[in-house]
Amino acid sequence: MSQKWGVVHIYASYNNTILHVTDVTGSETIAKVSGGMIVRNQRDESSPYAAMQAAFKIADLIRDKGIDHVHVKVRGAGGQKSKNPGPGAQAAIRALSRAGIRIGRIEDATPIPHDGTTPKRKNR
Amino acid sequence: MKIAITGTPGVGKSTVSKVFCDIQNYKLYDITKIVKEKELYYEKDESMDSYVVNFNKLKEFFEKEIYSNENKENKKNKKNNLKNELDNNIVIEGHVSQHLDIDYDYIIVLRCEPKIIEERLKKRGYSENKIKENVEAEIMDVCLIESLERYKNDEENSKVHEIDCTNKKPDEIVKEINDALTTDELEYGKVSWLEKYFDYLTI
Ligand SMILES: Nc1ncnc2c1ncn2[C@@H]1O[C@H](COP(=O)(O)OP(=O)(O)O)[C@@H](O)[C@H]1O
Ligand SMILES: [Mg+2]
Repeated sequence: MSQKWGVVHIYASYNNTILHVTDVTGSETIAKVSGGMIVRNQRDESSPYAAMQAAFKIADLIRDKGIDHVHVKVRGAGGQKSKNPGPGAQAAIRALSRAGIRIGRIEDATPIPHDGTTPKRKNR
Repeated sequence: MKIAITGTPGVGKSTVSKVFCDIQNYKLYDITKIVKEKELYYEKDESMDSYVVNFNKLKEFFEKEIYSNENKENKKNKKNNLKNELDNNIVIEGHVSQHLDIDYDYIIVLRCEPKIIEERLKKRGYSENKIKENVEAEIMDVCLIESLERYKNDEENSKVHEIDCTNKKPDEIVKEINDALTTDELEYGKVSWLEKYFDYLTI
């Protein structure tokens, strides 16, 4: 059976978590779900629960389109030092995996503020 | 009082900090300037056109500064036979101030509409990539989240105060800082750009 790959872009801000799945080139949107679509209370949009539910939803949407393997690109501060993405992001990745989506590479693409100085070196 | 003022480059930290310190008679430290002048960095990251901050050295610098300031204060106070209760009043300003291991009394996170930051950084002549990454950092609340990671402890005992500076004049922002410090009523989490600027991130 052929494997069809996608890329899950996880955006974990303070107030929200958005999952956006594209094809591997990143140019074509396959599905998008935000924490705000999941929970009623705005305060909970970025919660691990909302991220998890969003991930389950994304898993269903992309499987319908034949995608069951994904690379993950995380943007989310919090735990950068410990090399972990934010709580929303971690919950989302675990949920994808539990929903039977195979996870390939996980890349941290969290933007780093920099003027003429930067807190850390780029290692992309 | 030791105050950190952080936020994405272009948000207005240097401008606001200067007005605050002039009015309140605080001593101002601009981290970006200090790191470059005193060469408190590891090396230059060419891809970011930025020096990688050596936080150990930067901390040493501030320890010496704060210590010698406190000594001066003590001597002065002894002469006046006053108890040194005021400590020394300083503002440490920079987008990496939240990474510094210093026991700040408050950490102020300045925020601004990403589009405005983009315009300001264009004027600074930054490369397209550099502008984009900084604007993304503002959209993703990076400075706020990093500040909370370090200085939140718990809901009751937060030191973090966030101010949306969009369309406010520097002295209005300074007034908001003063109000927060005098009332000790801090807030954060009201600014949220992600839904509105999501398309910007995916281009
Ligand atoms: N409240 C404000 N209103 C209008 N312009 C501002 C304001 N704050 C800063 N600026 C302008 O924006 C630019 C960037 O401000 P600056 O203080 O250097 O930002 P930072 O130190 O955070 O990088 C400067 O040209 C400054 O004059
Ligand atoms: Mg500045």
